[in-house]
Amino acid sequence: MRTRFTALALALIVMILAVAPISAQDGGVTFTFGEFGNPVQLDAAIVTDGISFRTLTQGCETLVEFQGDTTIPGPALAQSWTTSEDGLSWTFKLVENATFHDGTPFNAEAVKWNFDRWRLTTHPQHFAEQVFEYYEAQFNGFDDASLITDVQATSEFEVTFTLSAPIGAFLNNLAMPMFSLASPAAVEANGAAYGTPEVGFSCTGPYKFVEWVSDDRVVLTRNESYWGTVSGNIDTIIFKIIPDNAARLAALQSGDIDAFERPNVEDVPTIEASEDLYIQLRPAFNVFYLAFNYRIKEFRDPRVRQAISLALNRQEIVDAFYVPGSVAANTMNPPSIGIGFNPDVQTPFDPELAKQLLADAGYPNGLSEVNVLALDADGNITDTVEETIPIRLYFMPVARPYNPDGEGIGSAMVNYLASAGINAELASAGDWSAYLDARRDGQLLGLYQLGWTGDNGDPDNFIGYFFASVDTPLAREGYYQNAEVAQMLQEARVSLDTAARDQIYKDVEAIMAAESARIYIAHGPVPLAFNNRVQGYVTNPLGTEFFKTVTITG
Amino acid sequence: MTSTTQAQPRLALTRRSERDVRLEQLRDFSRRLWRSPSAKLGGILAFATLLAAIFVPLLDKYDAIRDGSLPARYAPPDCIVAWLESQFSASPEKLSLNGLTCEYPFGADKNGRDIMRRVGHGMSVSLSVGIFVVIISLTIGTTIGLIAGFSGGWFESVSMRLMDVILAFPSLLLAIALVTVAGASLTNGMIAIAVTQIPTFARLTRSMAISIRNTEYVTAARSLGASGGKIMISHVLPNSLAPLIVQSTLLLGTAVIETAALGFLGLGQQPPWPELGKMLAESQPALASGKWWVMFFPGLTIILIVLGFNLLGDALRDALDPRLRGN
Amino acid sequence: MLLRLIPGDPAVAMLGERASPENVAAIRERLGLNKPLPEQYMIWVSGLLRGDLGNTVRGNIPIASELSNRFPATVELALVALTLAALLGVPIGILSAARRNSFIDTTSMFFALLGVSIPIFVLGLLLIYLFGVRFDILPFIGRLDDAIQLERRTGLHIIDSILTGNWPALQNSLTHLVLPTFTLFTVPLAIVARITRSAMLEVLNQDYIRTARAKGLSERPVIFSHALRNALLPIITIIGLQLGTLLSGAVLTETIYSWPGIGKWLFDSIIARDYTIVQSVTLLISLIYIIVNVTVDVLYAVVDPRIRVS
Repeated sequence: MRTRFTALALALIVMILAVAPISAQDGGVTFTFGEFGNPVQLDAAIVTDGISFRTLTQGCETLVEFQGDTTIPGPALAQSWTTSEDGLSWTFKLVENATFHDGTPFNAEAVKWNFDRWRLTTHPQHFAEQVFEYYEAQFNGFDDASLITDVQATSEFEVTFTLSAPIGAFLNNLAMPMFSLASPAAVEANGAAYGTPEVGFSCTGPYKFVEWVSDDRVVLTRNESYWGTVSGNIDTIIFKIIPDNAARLAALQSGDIDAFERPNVEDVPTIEASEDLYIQLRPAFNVFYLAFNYRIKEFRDPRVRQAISLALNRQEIVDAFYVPGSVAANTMNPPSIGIGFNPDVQTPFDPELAKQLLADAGYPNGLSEVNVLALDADGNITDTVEETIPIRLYFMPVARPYNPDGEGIGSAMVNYLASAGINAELASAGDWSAYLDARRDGQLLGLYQLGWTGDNGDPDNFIGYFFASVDTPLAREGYYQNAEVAQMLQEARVSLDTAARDQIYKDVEAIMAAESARIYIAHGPVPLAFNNRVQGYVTNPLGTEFFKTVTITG
Repeated sequence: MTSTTQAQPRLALTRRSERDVRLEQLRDFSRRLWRSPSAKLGGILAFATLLAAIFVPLLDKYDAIRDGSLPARYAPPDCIVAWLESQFSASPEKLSLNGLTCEYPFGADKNGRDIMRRVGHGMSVSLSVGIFVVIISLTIGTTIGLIAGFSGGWFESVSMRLMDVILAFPSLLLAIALVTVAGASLTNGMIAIAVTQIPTFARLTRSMAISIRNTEYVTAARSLGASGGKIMISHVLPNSLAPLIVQSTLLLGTAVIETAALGFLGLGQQPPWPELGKMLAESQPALASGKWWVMFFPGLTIILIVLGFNLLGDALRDALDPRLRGN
Repeated sequence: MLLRLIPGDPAVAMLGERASPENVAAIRERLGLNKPLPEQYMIWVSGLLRGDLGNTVRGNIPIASELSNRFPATVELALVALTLAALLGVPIGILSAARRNSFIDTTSMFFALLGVSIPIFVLGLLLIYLFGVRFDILPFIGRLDDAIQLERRTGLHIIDSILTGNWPALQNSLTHLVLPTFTLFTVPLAIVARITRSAMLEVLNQDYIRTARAKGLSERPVIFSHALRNALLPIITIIGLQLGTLLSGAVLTETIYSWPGIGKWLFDSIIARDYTIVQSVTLLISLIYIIVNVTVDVLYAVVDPRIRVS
């Protein structure tokens, strides 16, 4: 009996190991991209996550798209456009030979249908249980609140938008992947199931949906009737879902995948040194910052804030924790932004001056405890001290391109602060969702790490996102309110004069830097790792990267 | 041969006073313990761990906040590397020990902190967590299991269903949920892990109690008028001891590793303070690029701690339980 | 329900850095999170009674179809790992007990101890580098190569490929199982082996075994028909316990090997605060647990007639 069992086991092992590997599938040239997670959904209008967008970008197209490695919108489904003097009316001429993947034609009516669907909560396909988050954010809300008040098909291939107020970043908004156009017939036929794994998407792009196996893979294949040109040679795209960072690198090394985004910072030199692999950097369009909670009485003194800023050695942090090519940040807007980057603002490292400033502010022996101010019934900060707590520095529990290691950087930060006489505790606020929740409620009482990644390339979606509104006491972050800055940013938002907008954003950066309103640490580029056989991948600061330009050799 | 060695002290019992019996048992126990090689190895490891855990924090005042310097990020273990190079280098001359600096004997971590110091301090944290978890879950679990298994009835159904509920949820996820609700700290982490381990003990004790409650000697004890509680303590508990010790020794390791997982998720020991499992988890990104020391030293320490207590636990069980005493 | 006490909600998890008070409030409204908790729960329960597990909070995808894809993946891995752990662990335990203090005993118990003290992610990554990259003989991503087509019957790839006579798929899914199984089963294997050994030792020192030996019975029947039968109780208990852990707690293994199962899904859903997924998966896990428990209780009665199923 025992021998029979052994023989069986041996036979099994031989069978497992000896059978030759199955030859590649007959889908032609395949490009396999390693993803760290499942897409949330494939209905572009309702998703907010990068994985869904990368998938959708290959199959779904917008009216205009960011050109190559820039944040400048250029023609896509719209060939050309004109705008009225007051900026309230935009007319787009559409391409005439595009069809959706389901065979229905692409025309002005289809564009109108998509915008109406997003804009009007009464539209039958504006599903009540889904969130059209980006439309609301970029166009100020739905229905009457929407800045787009009307969309008309003025001819079969011409569509006209009417706005209630000029939008400086209108074209940039239209180029965002969430505003890619879906087939009205497909959405109507599938209802709320559109975009789920069973159904997928139906758009106009160079690749169409084949299958989505949850937590395993999403497969797209070449759209033979694509209206545009495909300069690369890929026939099949596979997004292979590999959650573990180390396993993804191993998969690249073993040839199971051709590319993936965001290897560990530690692994970047290893990949660059490898003969078969290489790294390409997506320019940093983000910022990592340390925010003050202005309910802390001590933080309302600009000298204390400046002391904290002076105590941090940004360059050392960048050299240690970021990929080579990252830069220390002095301002919120990154250097790669089209307008509004102010190179004159500098934030030096000077722990001695920090101590001096602390002493001037009345803390000659350093600072270990701080006072939290009470809020009144409307949520405004009062002068009453509610409690005294240790200084806390909250670290982010997740890695982001702008912050590759929240805990490591946090440890380094409290170390620097200690050298300048500020004895901060490193604190956590639970996992990412809990952290964001506490931050939203203004409950991160101390200093806290956070960052921002721009969506559309415009400074209004960068520094303008945070400081243009002072409507609520908590505002966008930590009870910071500056009416002067808000006024300037609102002016820039509706201006169509690029030079004037540039100057306003530069001035705002200078004003906020002078009072150390917030501490900017770094701009982190995103590394992408490739197998040598992949050529022609173009990185874009906004992450809208098209696989149609990619060529696979060998 | 077994029967003869065992029969003699039992016969002698009646004639001696209880104190003598205990002394004799103790002597017997330690003699058996001393003879076992795994007890020796385990004992040495466990003793060394205990010593280090007690004395490192006493002798070395460690301020994690002020430790570290980014330029020293991932500094290799200087003297070990130099020694290895001298051993395997082509040149015949051996490296002189005078020129050797041992600034980072175990290397430095991602923040340029001395791994040797952090391993020392992390050990004492991990060990206290492990012991604490074992004590809590052993006490509560055994009590519940004994009462449930022996008395049966409503208490058994209610408590065992409760144990099922706890067991039905992955222990780590349950611990995460508990800690997120109660707040992230080492103490809450310990309690959460302990709670998730209670069912294992409860069920184990219960199954022992069930299999014993119908045996002849319990029936006999009962008919002689012994109360339930007395029977539990004098009969069921000693008989359950062996599997409980096995489970406890295994749990010590599990607790150290689960604390690590909690620490990894930012829910256990708060950074920058060290804890072994957390150090291990932190070393993950450095592994592929060949920075072995970041994982090796904390990893080895954990393995040695767990191994030590497991070996010792094994030997203790053998020595404690005469029925397990082989030839 | 416990999850609702945790700070953070799906709207916040969804919005990330852009989770400002205004945005979050608007989204909570749309997702129906502003309704009182009992009402939300009742909505879910009433759907459940109609056989509808509901949709995910993010993306509004039907949970039933997602679950039917992921659950078999976890079951397959857990069953294979448990079967191997039992098939190897019990004999090792018996052998160790029978040849007490021999070389086999010491070595296997040492490795059993080592098995429980190596963190899963270290072992997993080591195996990937060794067999997946360096020697490149075993796959380490997912359940099946993308090139292989397999008709779905039960969702268990081994069974499906045998049912449809698809031998390349069988071979491929078996190779995909090797590394995850090896990673996952070390701990249960160690525990089963140790418990078996100690249970056997305990029984082997009982009087009736000595009697059997004294009667001149040879060692093999003593061990297999007398001792093992009586040692089975704790062994079955511990194997039953392991199945629960394997089914639900394989989060790390599923992550490392990109295994599309429910453990990883549950973990992700907790992070994303997707309450409907968490509720459904928890329900499923509890059901399995009850089934395993009942099975163990029945086995108790089969093995030991002294115990009645109450």
